[in-house]
Order: sequence, then C-alpha cells, then structure tokens
Amino acid sequence: MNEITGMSQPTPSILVIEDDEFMASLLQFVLERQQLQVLRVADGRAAMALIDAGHRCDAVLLDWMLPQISGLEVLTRMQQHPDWASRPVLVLSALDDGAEIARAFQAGASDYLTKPFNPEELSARLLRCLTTSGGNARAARA
Amino acid sequence: MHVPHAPEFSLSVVLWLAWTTLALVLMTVLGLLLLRWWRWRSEPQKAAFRQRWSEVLMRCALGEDLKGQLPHLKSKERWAFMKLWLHCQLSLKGPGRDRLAALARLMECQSMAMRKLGSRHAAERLMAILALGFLKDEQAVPALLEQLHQGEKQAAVHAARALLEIDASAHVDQVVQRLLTLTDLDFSLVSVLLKPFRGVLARTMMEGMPPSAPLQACAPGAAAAALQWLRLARALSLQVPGERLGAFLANSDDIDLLIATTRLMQGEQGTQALIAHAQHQDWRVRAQVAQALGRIGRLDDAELLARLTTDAQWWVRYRATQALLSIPGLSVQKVQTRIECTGDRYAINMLHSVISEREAFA
Repeated sequence: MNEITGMSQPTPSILVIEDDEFMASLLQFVLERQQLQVLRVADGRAAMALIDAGHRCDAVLLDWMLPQISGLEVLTRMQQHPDWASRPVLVLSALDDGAEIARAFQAGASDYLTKPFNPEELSARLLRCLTTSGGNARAARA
Repeated sequence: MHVPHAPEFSLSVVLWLAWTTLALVLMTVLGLLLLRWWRWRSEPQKAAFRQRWSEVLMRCALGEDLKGQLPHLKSKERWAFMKLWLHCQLSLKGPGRDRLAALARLMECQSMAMRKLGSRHAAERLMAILALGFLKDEQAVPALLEQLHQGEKQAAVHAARALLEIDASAHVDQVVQRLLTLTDLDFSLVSVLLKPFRGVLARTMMEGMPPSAPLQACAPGAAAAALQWLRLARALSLQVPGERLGAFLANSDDIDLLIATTRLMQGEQGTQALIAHAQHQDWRVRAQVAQALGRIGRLDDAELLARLTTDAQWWVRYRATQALLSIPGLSVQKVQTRIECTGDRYAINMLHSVISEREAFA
C-alpha cells in the first residue's frame, strides 16, 4: 500500500519507507504524536519514484530490508540526488550486526535503530537528526 | 446365449460420468464464488477492526489513558485482537510493552491463550505460547515448561522465549539446557525469537561451554554436544574468546565441529587459529577458513588467501577470492596483481567471476 498524507509546511515532514503495514502505521502514529507530518511509501520502488519526482521531505525513516529494491539502494540513490543528499536518514532494521550497521553509515545514514523499537527513543533520535541537519526549530521543541 | 447390448451400456456410463463431472465442476465454481463473496463481505469489517484496535493498542503503548474509552470487544473478535496485540508486542520495546500487557490482562486474554495451548492448529498453539509470555503470566509457567520440555521443537523455542519474558533469570538455565539437547533445531528461529535475551543467554552459555580437551578423550557424545553448543552460540551471535575456540580447532578432527568453530571465530587470536587450518585436508574446512578470513582477516592474511585462490576445489577458490576482495585496505587492482602473480588461470577466471558478481549485486 502506498499512502500519502499531507505535506504542508512549516510542520516538518518525514518520509517513512516501510513495507510492513502494521509497522508503518505504528511509525506514523508515533511521529504524528510528535507533531510531524508523515509521508508513507511501502517499498523501495515507490521511494525511488518519489525521489525522482522531486518531492521534498525534512527527514527519512528507512526500513533496511525492503522488497525488490533494498534500503541500501534507496539510500545510495538519495545520496546521489542533489535535493535529497542533505536530508537526514534514520535507518530502521531488524539486523543488528556491526557489519550491516557500518554499511548503512558508509552509505550515508545519519542514524541506525534496530527493530523492535522504543517509540521514545525513535522520536528522540529523529528529532535530533532534524535539529542537527538544521531542520525546523519547532520540531526540536516538539 | 444372451449377450448384453455393450454399446448402449457404455453410453449410459459415459453420460452418467459426464453429468457427475459437470455437477462437480459447477459445485467447485460455486464454492469458490461463495468464498470470494464471503471474503469480499468480511474484508471491510476486518479492516475496520484492525483500524479501531490498532489505534487503541498504539495509544496504550504510548502511555495514553484509555479508561472508559475501550471499544467493546466481541467474543468472536478476541483471537483477532490477540494477533494484533502480539504483532504490536513484537514490534516494540521499552515500557510500552508493559502497558500493552496490562491492557491484555484487563481484557482477560490469559484464559483464551491457555485454551489455545490445546488447539489443533500449530500456529495458534505457538501464538498462545508467545502471548502467555508477553502477558507475563506466572500461572502459565508450568504449562510453558511442559511445552519447553515435551512440546515439538518450534513450540519449545517459543516456550523458551515466553519463559524468558516472564522471568529471564529464573528460567535461563532450563532454557539453555533444553536448547542444547534439541537435535535438528531451527537455529534461524532461535536467532529471531531469542535475540532480545542474548545477554542473559550468553552468560549461561559461556558458563556451560564444553571442554576443549581432545574430544577423543571425553565422554561419548562429547563431539555432538560441543557441535550443538557451537551452533547455538552462532545463532545467538555470542562473542566467544578466540583462545577458547582456538583450542577447539587444535584438539578436534571432526569436520562439522571444525566448520562450526571457524564460523564463530573473532579477532586476532581467531585469525592465528584459522591460519593453522588453511591447509586442512578437507576442502570444506579450507573453504570455511577462507570465508572467515574474509570476515576477520587483515592485510597480513592476503598472501595466504592468494595461495588459497589456486586451490584444487572450486569453493575454496571462490571463498578465498571473495575474502581477498573484502580485506580492508586492499583495492581490486592490488588483488588483481596478487592473483595474476600466481600465474593460475583458474584463479584469474575466478577473480573475474567474483568481480562481475559483486558489480551485479552492487
């Protein structure tokens, strides 16, 4: 399912790329509780289309193990895109081995969080990503 | 003598068979249409149920006060609620899970989970086992211990998780003991389900690490027990000290044991122990050594790996080439130069194949 919710500024918007519908709605719920707007896509292909179409988001929450096109490929494409390269990307993955985490950081991830996740920790890390990337000050206060 | 009119008899049999077949086909089609219709009718209800209760569960997990706001849960919806609740439990960590457990206790899910332990369907039994664990229901411990010790393998692993959820320190010894005796264990399931308790399991596992004395001198079955321990350690991603694993490598000639030990190797001491087995007579051990060096090896190991690329066995050449390309600080050009120096055309061909493979996956 590809679901797109509103993206009006100045509320910071987060692109959530997650194939598990329940997990995606859980993430959306947690982020919306932090006054963040959520744009949701269910696979790497839809994310690539969004990147190429020139959509803008303030940060990305990326599932690492996506069907068809992996999280690594999506992240690599983002880093090559002038509009997306500076966006903070928080990788969310069930994999917790050091090599995989290192690969994500080498590819340009700003942070890495393992599943299952703690909602408070996710919010804190994402808001820190937003503030350190010069994101909206309102997000930092939220 | 009277002979029955054979063609007429055959025709009636054929006609009867044709009608029966037609009737069966029609009944099947009708059945399929009914199932689709039933699914079409029930899908919106299921979606509405998921929507309604997902929100309740998420609000509960985030600590919102739900007093007096809980929707009515019909008795036929209880199992669907339990599935959704389990999904939520498995997706989250932190205090949210305790709040979810309190909510499920409030909705009296324990009794249903206990009933489902006796279900004919394995999936329901496994879910019930997990649910009892997440509910932190002390009264369910005897039933869960029974599943751990007498249930089938999958049930035992699920019961292990449930018992650790209820009280990890109280049940960890029994869990480890049972997992070490279960043959043909699904180690990927162990890895997924028991990952959150890796720390507590690691302590108990290390205390019970099998002796690394020459296995021939140990009790019968020592090699099998050691192999199970090593495989379980790998499933739980245990960091076993290199010197202890090195002793296993030095004292054993069991191929499965050597391979399992090689897969666990870490750090510089591990590298030294591996190098000693790079010329092992069994090619499976040599291939594992090459693969492990790709994981933990350094620049100093490049020469040994380059030698392994000329091995007589295809798999050893393949793993050694992959390993060379994974060594930090060694560029593709440098690997190419090293392999070309060997003058072995099979090694050079293998390098081209592995580079193409990497480019295809990149």
